Amino acid sequence: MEGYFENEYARFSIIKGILFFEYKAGLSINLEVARQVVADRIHFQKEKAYPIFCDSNGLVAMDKAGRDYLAQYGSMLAKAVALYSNDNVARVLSYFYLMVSKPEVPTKRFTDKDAALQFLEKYK
Amino acid sequence: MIMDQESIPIRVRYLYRMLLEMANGNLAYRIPRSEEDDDIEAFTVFLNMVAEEMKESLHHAGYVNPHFTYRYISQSTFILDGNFTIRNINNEVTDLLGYTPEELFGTDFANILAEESLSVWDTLKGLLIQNQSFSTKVSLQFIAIQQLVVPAFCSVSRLLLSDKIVVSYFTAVNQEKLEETTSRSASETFEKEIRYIDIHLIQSVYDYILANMNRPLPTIPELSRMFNTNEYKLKSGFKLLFKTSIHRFYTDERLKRAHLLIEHTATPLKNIAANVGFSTYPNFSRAFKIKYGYPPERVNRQHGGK
Repeated sequence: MEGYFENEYARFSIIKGILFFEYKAGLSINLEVARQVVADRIHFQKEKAYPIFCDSNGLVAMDKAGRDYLAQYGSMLAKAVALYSNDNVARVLSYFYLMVSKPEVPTKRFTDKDAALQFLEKYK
Repeated sequence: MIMDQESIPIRVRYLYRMLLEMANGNLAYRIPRSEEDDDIEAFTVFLNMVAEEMKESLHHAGYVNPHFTYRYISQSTFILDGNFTIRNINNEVTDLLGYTPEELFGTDFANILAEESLSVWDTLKGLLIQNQSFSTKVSLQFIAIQQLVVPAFCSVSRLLLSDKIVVSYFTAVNQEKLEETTSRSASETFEKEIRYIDIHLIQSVYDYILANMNRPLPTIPELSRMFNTNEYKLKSGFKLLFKTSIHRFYTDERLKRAHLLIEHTATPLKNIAANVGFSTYPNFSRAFKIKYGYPPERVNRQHGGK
């Protein structure tokens, strides 16, 4: 593991050139949360861009301001993003985020972890 | 009526109620959330998000427009006494929440707040009692008569000469209401201009720019060719709908990204300027200072880099 960090909202770790990012359970994303998460992630990555594996199962809600912020600034220092979720609400949040907020870097949704990692391999 | 039929599960009834409100142009309501994670909840979340997006789009298309003399706003106001009981309201409250004045007068304000807002309200009550000139802005969620939730960004303040409290909330009104109360000519001009603009096309241009921030901005002639339109329509359409020029929009977005990178990385400023697409550092520095009022060097770098 090349590094680990945790804040109020998420856990970050870098393993074999992929940034693993996990939202904590019961999280509602608003603009403030989005800002903090992006700031901490950029800080943690030390200027290097990575493919990102995002486990969003912990998400319960996302307001528009948070979504829009993540779609723009959440793509910074990201080569590609795999959105991983199995829970119903988390899946729908990912879907909406992808189709409406339209993130800036290649982003795909996955319910299978291996498929997600395979997708990210190409962007290493 | 479907909305009240007891044989249909309440959470499904909420879905119908919400769709009905939206069909009637009311995008301010939200379906209350439950603890479940089933298909109904997923649909509920989705529908709430759709209403939120639509509300912002309408809001932006000109219903509240600072360049016009008239602002199309609706203000809902509650007057509470020292016991936080509702003593008075204005008409907009009944329109917004659906209760009759009689249903509200003399009742505890907390009764129309959603559960998520109760602890915030408790805290506020304490502050309002302690401080005679207390005033703040806070996000509150109200419950409308159909049990749908109305999120509102409210101003809450104590009136100075008594123990009364004012809770107030602004919102953009829908088309019909604003025609009654505003000048014909201002809205007519805007409506006329907007008719000649291909909103879908301008939105596509906007989305394209945002999706390609890591590349240089195509020239206006190039963009016009890409989107099959002429330069005049492109420039004036963008300006009318997004209240800024294409170039200014692009530059602003680049500068915002630069600010984030300066704050949170140790990358040398020269490199950041190049990363976000400025051809020379002085160009970057100048544009940055114009936008933020201070030069890039003065940004608080949490990394301590230069």
